[in-house]
Order: sequence, then C-alpha cells, then structure tokens
Amino acid sequence: MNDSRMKDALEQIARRGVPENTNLWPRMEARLEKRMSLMNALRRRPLAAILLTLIILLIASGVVYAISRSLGFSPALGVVETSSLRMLDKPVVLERDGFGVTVTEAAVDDSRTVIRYQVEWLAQPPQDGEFDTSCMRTPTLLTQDGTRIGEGVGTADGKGVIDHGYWVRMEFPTLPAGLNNARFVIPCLRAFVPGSLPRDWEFDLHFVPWDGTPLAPVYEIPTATETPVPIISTEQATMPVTTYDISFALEQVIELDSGYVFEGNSNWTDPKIQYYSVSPYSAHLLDATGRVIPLDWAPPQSRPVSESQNRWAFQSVEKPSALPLTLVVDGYTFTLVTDATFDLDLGAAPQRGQTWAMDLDVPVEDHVLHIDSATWLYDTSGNRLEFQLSSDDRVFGAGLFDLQNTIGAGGGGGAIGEPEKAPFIATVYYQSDLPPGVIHISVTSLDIVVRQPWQTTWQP
Amino acid sequence: MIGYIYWVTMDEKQAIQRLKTGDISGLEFLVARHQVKAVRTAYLITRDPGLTEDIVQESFIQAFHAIRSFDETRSFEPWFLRSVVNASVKIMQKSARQVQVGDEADELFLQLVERVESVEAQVESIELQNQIWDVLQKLSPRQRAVIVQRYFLGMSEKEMAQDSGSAVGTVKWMLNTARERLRIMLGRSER
Repeated sequence: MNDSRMKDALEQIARRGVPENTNLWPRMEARLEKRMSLMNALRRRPLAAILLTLIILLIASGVVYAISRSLGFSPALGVVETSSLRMLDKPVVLERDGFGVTVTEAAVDDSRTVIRYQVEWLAQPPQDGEFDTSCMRTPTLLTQDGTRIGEGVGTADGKGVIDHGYWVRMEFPTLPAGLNNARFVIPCLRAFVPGSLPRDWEFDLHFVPWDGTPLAPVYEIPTATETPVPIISTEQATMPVTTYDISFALEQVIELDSGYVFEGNSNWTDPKIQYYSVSPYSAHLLDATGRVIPLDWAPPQSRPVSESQNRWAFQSVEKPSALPLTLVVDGYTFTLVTDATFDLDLGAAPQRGQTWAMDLDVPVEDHVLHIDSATWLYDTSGNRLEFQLSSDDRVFGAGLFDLQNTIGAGGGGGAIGEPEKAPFIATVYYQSDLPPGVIHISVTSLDIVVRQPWQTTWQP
Repeated sequence: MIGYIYWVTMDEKQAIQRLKTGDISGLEFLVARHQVKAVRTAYLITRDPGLTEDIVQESFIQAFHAIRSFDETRSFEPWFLRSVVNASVKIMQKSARQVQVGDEADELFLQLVERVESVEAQVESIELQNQIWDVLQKLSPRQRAVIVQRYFLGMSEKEMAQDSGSAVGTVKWMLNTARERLRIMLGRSER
C-alpha cells in the first residue's frame, strides 16, 4: 500500500468528519467551572456589601487591625499592597461589532499591575457556525508611547463565565512610579461563540492614587511560623521513617464578612517527593472555646514558588467571634518517587483470567509493599494485570509499570478526603496478550498519607 | 486545586508547567493546540463525531489530573494522543459497533487497494475515501488504531514501539497484520 496516499486519504476523511474549527474548550471549561463553586459563591457576593460590613466591623469593634505591608483584598483584584496603590480612575468601555469589552477594575502596586476586564456579546450570538480559534496572542500592557511593559499572565483565580460573556483578571509588571497612563491591548477575544471575533482592542487606562476605599484586611503571618509537620502518627512510632523535611506554614489570613480564608504552603527539600505533591487532605478550625468550624477548600491567591512547594487555602463556613483561632490540618498526603522492582513469572502459557498468588514483600524506601496476587483481566476495561497490594497504613497507593511491555499503567489508591486504610490495587495495561515467562514490574511511586494533625493558632 | 486562569501565550513547556501548578490556562493552551488532531484521531477509530468529542474531552481531563507525572522534557502530543487512541479503542471495544470481518466484507476491499496503488491522484476522490472509510470499519478497533497511528499520525514503527513500551517486533507484527487485512479487504472490494 502506498503510505503517502493512505495518509492523504485518512487526512481527507478526518477533515470531512471533523472541521478545523472544532472547539472543545467551552464545554470543558464548564465542567471545570463546576468545581469552583466556592469561588463562584465569592464572586456572587457583592463587593459593596463586603466593604460595608467591614467598615461597620471596624467602627463597632474598635479593634486595631494590624495589617503587615498594608495588604488588602478585593474579590475583583485579589491581594494588593495598599501603601503604593494606584487604582483605575474609572471603567473603560469599548463596543464593536456586537461585542462590548469593559476594563472594570485595575490596580498598580509596587510589585505588579492587575487588570480585570469583562467581555460581553451585546446581541444574541450565532448558535451555529465555525469557532475562530486562530487568534492566540496575549494581552499586553504598553506605555502611551508604545513602550512595552509586559504581557499578561493569569492569576490564581482570574477567570470566570457570566451569562453573556466572561471576565478575566491578569497580572502585568508594575508601572513605574509617576507613570499613571498606560495602553492596554487585547489582541484576541476568546472563542466562546461561533463566528469571527473582533480583534485588537485598545484601552487607554488612567491611574490615580488609591482613595482609601476599604479593602478586606489581609493579615500576613511571619515566616518564622513555618514548622515541620509530623511525619508519623503515634501508633506508628516504632517504625523507622524518613522525615523528608516537610514543613507547613500559614502565610496569610483574609478576613471577609462571611469568614476567614487561611492560605499557606507546604515546603520540602527531599527530591524523592514528587513535585507539587504534598497536600493537606482536610482541615478544620477551632475557635477560642474549642468549637469546631468546618473549612472548605478555596483557591490560593498565588502559585508555588518552586516544584518543592505546594499551596493550599481554606475558607471557614462562618465567621467565628471567639478568638484566637486555631487552624488544624487533619493530615496530608504526598507521592514518593521510588525505584524498586519485582518479578512475576507468568509461566509458559499465561491464560486470560489466570491469577498468580504471589505473597511477596517488596522493600520500597521505608515501606514494605506486599504483593498479594496478580490477575490477568481481559474485558471491556482493557487487557491488564491487576495487582492486589497492601502495605503499612501510611501507604494508600502505588504506581506500577512493566517498562518492557506495558502500554500504560494505573496506580491504586487515590482519594478525596482522608484515604482509607485498606488494601488497594494497581493495574498495568498491555496492548496484546501477556508475554510468557518472567516480567519485571517497576514500583515507580508510593502514595503516602500522614494522619497526624498540624496546627497553628492565629490572633489577628 | 483548580484555578481560574486567563489565556496567555506560552510555549508548550510553559503550558505544562502552569498546568502542573493547577493553572488551567495551561490546559486551555494544550486544548487549543491539540484538539483538532486528537478529535480527528478518535474519529478515525470510532467513526462517531459526538463520541469522539467526549473521548477527547475526557482524555484532556485525565491529562490534567495526570500532568504532574508527565516528564516535561518529552513532547506532549505523543503522550496525549496515545491516551486518545487507547480511550477510543476501549470505547469501541465496549460498544456493539465492532464489526466482525466476514467473507462479504473481505470481498468489498479487494479492488480498493489496487486502486490506491495503481491510480494516480485518486486519494482526493470522495468515492475512494468512502471506500477506505468503509474498510476501516471492518477492522478491529485495535487494528484501526494501529493504522491511524502509522498513517494518520505518521508514527514510525520505532516510535510506536517506544510510545507503547512494546518491542518493535510486536508493533511491526500488529501493523503488518492490520495492513495485510486492509490490503486484502481493499483489494477484494474492487473485484
């Protein structure tokens, strides 16, 4: 068969069936959007109500809020440094070809420029047609004479969808002191609706000194509070462990009218820990009376500064009044990169459905992975070897690979909330029938849980 | 944790790095860059445009969850398309759409391979494309996937072996089997 002709034919067939303008993102984003109910709730809360409540609290309580570095928070702009803060003097609106784009808020502090804008379609957009995904240039901030200040980057919670459009928040380098005018260019709108989209939107922005309008207080926590986390629970105390040099730190607390947002990080130095993998699995809050206040996950305001850091944030479901407050991280999980192997002799003629009783203990780092058995499964879920595993109660999953033969692998374990103490499975997939003889299975990772609380007490 | 992140221009490595931090602007970039080829790949295996979009969406979501274990020094596309191919094959194996090859189907293909090999500039022919399309339907999902990887994705046998973790001989054998079946079936279709 002529290879190039077959390739051409397949490409023509594929083009007929799948147009070039296929756009999966809006539906995917909608799926991802559902996971952010917390931020949705936060966005729905009117800023004015938050600010008004804060003002009342400030006046009525007489409490002096010690705000380090004069940080403040607004849902629109995130955390900003107020001593050098300049704000957009008024929203800037442009309308063109049935679309409206409004720069609703913008702020400049000593480290960055934050711009939030909203895109709306002013008329009913076409329901059918091709999506224009060809424009992928980045919004840019310029001086008025055209000198480039920088391209925008996304912020940690900087995008959302509204009924007839979407909003975006992004960060740029800071504007030099004294430079209060800038040009903001949005080269491309996002292809949320079919049809061509007007390009190259230019906004003249003018910044004025912050007028002191209250922002939600942000309390910075001194870095000295970073503390090592327990690596082992009391009942495990006789087991040898590596500490992996993991520590947690509470970095800041944002005080909203509805509660507090606690944001911190997990840090470690051991390269055996997979990057970004150390994460609390749940947390709760205790007020001064010992009452438990539930916490929900919240998006962190900033990103990890290295691969050896992860960030977390929790928001209280109510605003306790009995202070101080104690943040209790119930425990945490991480993935340990490992390098261990074991062999399985499949025999001369392995059969589908066959189970190999193994009863094998494999030392993996500080743990022993017990391989109970392996079964060749062949059904609609694929052609695979499924291993029944167990270990000590710190291990809740393992990554196994057959590097010689496998086409993929799935780890065991995995959990939302605290992982269960139970045997688990790991699966190795094969493209065709299992080979006869000995196969070499690599244990490439272990999922570790530490069910020991870490806590810190905070007083505003 | 999933963040609401804005669209930014970045290269693929940056996109992956961002995605690893939970920044879904990285995923948006990867979707924009790879979605068409991924959907077409799945379409050639499943033949169902609606199903292919679901498969590719799910593959992107899985990539999002698995991205932390992805080696950034490698190219994203082969890694991702492999998951699309595997997901497509799995879905087809689950469905009742798999067509058993029989004598009648074999008969359909015989002339077609001769036309592909002997007639100049025929690949643009809608009729020929339709015939190849029909022939593909007669292959098993895994054989179809091998043909798609080799001819549509342009992977060499060595790349297919490296990608799948299989021996080159295994890939060669699978490809030859699929190709031979296609050849026979295409050939018979023109008798």
